[in-house]
Amino acid sequence: MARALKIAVTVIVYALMLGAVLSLWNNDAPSFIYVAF
Amino acid sequence: MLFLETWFWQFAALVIPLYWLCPRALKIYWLLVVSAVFQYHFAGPAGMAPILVLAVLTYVAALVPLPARGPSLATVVVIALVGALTFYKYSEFLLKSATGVIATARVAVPAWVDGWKSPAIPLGISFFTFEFLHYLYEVRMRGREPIRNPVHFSVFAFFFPTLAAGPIKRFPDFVPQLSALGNPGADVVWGGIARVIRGLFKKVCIADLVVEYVKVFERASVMNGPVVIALAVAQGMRIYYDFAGYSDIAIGLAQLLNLRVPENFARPYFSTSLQEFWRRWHISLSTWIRDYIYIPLGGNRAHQVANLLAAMILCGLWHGAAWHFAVWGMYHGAGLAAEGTVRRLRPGWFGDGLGPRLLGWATTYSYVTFGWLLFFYPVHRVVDMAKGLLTWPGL
Repeated sequence: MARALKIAVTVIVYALMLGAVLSLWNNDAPSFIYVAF
Repeated sequence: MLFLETWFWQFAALVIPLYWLCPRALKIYWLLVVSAVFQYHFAGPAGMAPILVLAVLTYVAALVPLPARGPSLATVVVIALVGALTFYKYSEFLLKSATGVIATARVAVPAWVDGWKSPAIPLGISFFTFEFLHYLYEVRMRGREPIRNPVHFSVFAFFFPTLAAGPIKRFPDFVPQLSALGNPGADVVWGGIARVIRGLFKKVCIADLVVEYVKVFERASVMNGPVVIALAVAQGMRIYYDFAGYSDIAIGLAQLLNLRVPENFARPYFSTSLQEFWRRWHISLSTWIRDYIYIPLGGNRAHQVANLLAAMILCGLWHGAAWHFAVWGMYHGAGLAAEGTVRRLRPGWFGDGLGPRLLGWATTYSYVTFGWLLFFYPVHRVVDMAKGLLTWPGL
């Protein structure tokens, strides 16, 4: 039960993180700093 | 843009599942093909030429027997690697600096020197050059067995998740994995996906948001104490979440291919000393600088302060062709040297008690955070900001 709950919470947290990433996705976002190095 | 381009995620969504479906014997060739496609897409043919030429030279230089007399091919290739990096990344900076000095002596500067522009910097040159230098040093100076299989060497050189900005790989850790390529288990796949999502979150939802605050603080009408502190803290958060995000994505993608690459960060802002900070910040670069610059210069054995300064100035300049990067490196070299002296004279200050640890954390965080101003801005602006630190509203 505890394991199932932990998995469910983890999946929800990562789904929310991915949702936030997709909602803030911006094709004009600043490039990664270190790629220019 | 790389990992932020829609093209890249379409590419990843195609090549990773196909890699899993590939027969074991063909996986290595698939990795090589897709890495070449990645490099071609982002760097173009002109950007591919330098890495191709330097990779072939490095591969051959590690294999040919050492001559009885005279310089070895490895020595020539090391000079070529450093020369290529200098030409692409630093030629304009060095010529501009030199013309500045020459102009003070009222000597005419040739027109071609005055108008020199650096060519476009090939994608990832700072990273693959360091991987190739590490490879030649380990083979020629430490007697490690070279990579004989050209496909294995090519995948080490071109591996797409780490090609553009690391983490800087070490061949004794990476190449043996190529002999036993297989599909990752469900736990590893989930770990890789989670790592990629965390990386994207750090970049898109934290670093890029903090950039907006940086812009606000940069436009402040008065650079007083609170504004300078807020700007330095924001820049520190921005660079951490930007690069840790990038590293998470690169490490997560490698994990999805069932390959391990080095870690780059270990909660650096929790460090309680500067020495500890450099063991936790951009680990694949700081260990490279330690192993291939600091220790060969003499390390702790002799002239420790000079070695630290030289290694850290080079570390600073590695980040870009500008004096403020060199000053940032010198600032950290001086900090490390001063901390080493205090550690010898007052070892109790670095104890395990809560007090010393809190004091160490506050000192380290403040020192590192002020340093980010030197990293991001020209020295004269940082001098103005330092003056601004003494100005507090209402005082």
